[in-house]
Amino acid sequence: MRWFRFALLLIVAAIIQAGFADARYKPDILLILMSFSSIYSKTNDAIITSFLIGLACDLIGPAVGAGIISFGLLGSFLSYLNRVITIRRMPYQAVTIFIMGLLTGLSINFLNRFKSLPFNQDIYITILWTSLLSAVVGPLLFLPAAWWLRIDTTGRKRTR
Amino acid sequence: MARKRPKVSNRMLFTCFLLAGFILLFSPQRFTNKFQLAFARIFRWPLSISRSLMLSASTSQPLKRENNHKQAQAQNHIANLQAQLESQIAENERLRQFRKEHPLLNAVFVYGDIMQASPTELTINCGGSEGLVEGQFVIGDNSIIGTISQLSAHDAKIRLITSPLSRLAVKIADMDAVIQGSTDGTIKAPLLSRKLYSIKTGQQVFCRPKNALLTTPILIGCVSHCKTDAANPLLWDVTISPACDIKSLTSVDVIVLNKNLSEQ
Repeated sequence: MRWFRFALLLIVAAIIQAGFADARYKPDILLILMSFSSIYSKTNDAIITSFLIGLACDLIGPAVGAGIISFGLLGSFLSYLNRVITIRRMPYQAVTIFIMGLLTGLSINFLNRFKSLPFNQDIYITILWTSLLSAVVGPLLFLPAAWWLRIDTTGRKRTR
Repeated sequence: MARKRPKVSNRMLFTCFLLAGFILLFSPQRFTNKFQLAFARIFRWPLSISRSLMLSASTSQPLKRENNHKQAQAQNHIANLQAQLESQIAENERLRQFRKEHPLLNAVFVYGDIMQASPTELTINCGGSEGLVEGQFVIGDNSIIGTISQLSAHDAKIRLITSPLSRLAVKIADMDAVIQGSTDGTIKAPLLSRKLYSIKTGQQVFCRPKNALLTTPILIGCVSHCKTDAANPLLWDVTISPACDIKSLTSVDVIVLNKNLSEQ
């Protein structure tokens, strides 16, 4: 993993995501980046990047803690899952992003209750739309992300 | 010789990060907020640019957005003005009520130093040029001590309530009466029927309001002696002591009612 490039990409993604804060339905760039790194990186890199992406999500979110745990757990889980099931085709990637979006959204909202944050009634609809939009946009962003991080998406060997 | 990089197992890495996550989750909000604020401070320019870009992209018609923005501004301004108006109306009502409760608010107190004093009269250094007219009530130590009897441009004479020439309409025991100064320096309340008036020593005597001169009762003194009149047993012989020691006064205030305000 080219960490400097990844750091730049993460900051840009966090800033773009923060710009979406006012929009009700929006794609989650950080979720797409987490899915990308979990699918295309080595497991230990994927664990680090997942937690870092979670931290970035928390820094632009309402509270710190829930994003790190949710992104870290699910990113690591996806990375381990990717050892068994290779997710290379775009439709599969879209489905993966969609499921990950649902799980991270629910997990973050559950953990945020420990921070005594007010519970939004229509949060489930928001999570659904965010996951759906991320699933549509996500696979298209994988290519520029792979180019920036110099990752071969065609058929590289994974190091465990 | 190249330095060997320490290898950390995935499990250890995962556990450490997860532990850090839980620590942050259960840390107090005021502590974790510092991280968020630091991030916002460091990247404030890109964040503001990103937000403005997203806002401009969210509405396809800039003119419409501008109009909506101005309309919202105008509506907010109207709402603020309405709130201010309601607040002013409430304030006005409160002041009106306050004025009702404090009738002397519309009065001007003209201050005058006592230049000359006799047992029945005082001369003060203010007169017609300050708005004084004959008959106005004079206050000393928050009680009526007399009325303006003579007037020039720059000084005035006060007829004291203890003067035999002074006659004032008062209320004693919630009943109307007239008091009159006595030659011995006290105040008498003549012709009070024992049948009608139940007067006791210590009762307070208030000056009755008089049109354009006084709008509220003000204390004059209190009943110092009250006994059956020796000459006429059907009447009271009432002696009233002034509420203040007139001899020790060095200055007085003349009540000048503001005509415009008193008519409101």
